[in-house]
Amino acid sequence: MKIALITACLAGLAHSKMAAVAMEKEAKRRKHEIVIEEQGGHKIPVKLTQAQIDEADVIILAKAVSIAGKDRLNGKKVLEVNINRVLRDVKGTMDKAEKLFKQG
Amino acid sequence: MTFLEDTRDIFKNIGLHFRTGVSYMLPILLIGGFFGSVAVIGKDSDVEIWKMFKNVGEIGLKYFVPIMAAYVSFSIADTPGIAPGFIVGILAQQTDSGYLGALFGGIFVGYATFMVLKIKLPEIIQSTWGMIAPVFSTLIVAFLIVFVIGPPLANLMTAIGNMLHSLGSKGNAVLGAIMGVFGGIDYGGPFSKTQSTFATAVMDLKSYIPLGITAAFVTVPPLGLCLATFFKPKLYTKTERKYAKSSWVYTLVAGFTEIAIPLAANDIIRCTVATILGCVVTGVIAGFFALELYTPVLGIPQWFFFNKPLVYWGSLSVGVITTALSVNFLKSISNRNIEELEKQEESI
Repeated sequence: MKIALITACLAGLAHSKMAAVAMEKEAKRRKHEIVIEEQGGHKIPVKLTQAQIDEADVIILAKAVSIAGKDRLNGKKVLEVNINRVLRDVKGTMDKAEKLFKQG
Repeated sequence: MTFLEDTRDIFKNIGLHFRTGVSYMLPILLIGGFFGSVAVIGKDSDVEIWKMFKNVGEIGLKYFVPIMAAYVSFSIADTPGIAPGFIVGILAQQTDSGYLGALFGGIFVGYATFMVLKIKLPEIIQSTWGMIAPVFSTLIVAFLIVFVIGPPLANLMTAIGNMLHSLGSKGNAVLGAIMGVFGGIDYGGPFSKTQSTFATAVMDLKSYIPLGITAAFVTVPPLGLCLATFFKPKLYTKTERKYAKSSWVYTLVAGFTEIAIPLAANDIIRCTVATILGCVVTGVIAGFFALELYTPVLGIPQWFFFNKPLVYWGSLSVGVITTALSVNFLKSISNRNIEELEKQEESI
């Protein structure tokens, strides 16, 4: 399964990075492909290209603040979760994403 | 029933919208604060370049409020919300209801824009409705700000401002203690963020001591817990010691509380008691000596913008040592089995 993960936190310094790293590890463990975009007040923005988003099977939004550029995600399967929840329960989040993918 | 559902949805996520506003507000405060702090070096000299620094600083420290309102509104109503939010934010500032007025204004105008845009009209005017709708929402909320919620909020803001400015060193010490509890309790979670948001919000009232207090204790939890592992390595697992060795430098450079999480995660209660103690001590000292910071930056840049760098380093070291000693004390009277924990770590 191909995952596009977008994380966003208040300052873009800590939580967004921690969630990204944790999810990337978990995705590698389960042999999923993952691309990541991080957002936040002081973050150097790394944007996912439209092609990367189109290719993804599931998009995970891990957020403490609203995501910029929501219009890019039109018509995709989107899993919205609180970023604190992701940090507490990485496996559970990945399970949810897989479940969403299997729903077809 | 979508109207009620949407309303519930928006107000249920009010925290998210607020944090989004703050997220976009921080960079403008940073730029303004940086220029403002540099301008302090030039005093009130008439040289053009210092004037430029002073002006840019004032712009940043003034317009962070409308930017916050604009992006609270953006978070609710997406792009059409930005312009109304910005205008309402400036209006709130001009009618003296300041940060609170702008916050409520931003929420209301975002909500109003979102709802007004949903109105279904005949095809022929529907396409132009997108242009006109924000005008309507701005009109409604402008009335609200000026005639309804503005005046009481303005009184409240003035009261808060007067209180903060008349605290004196003892009052500031108490303020520091309260903020220390919030800052030390959840390692950069909702409580700490509430506290730091308060500190940045009162910059609009020209009160810079809360930010000084916040900045003083923000690195106390990670530094304190790192130092504790150096004092008594036997109380910690191999992973914790290794993490501490690399992370104290990172804490000094980047300077945020969240770095402490891996050190506290295995033993959250004892660690939290210790970090609260450390933060309170630092907060009290910083408050008592009226430590001020003009720029909400973290890490190394922070060091150059304190009005009293000595107080900063003094309060920080006392707080860090308090945290380290108290966490080691608490751990030494507990029966935390280090060998067991190390086995667990290896198995993962």
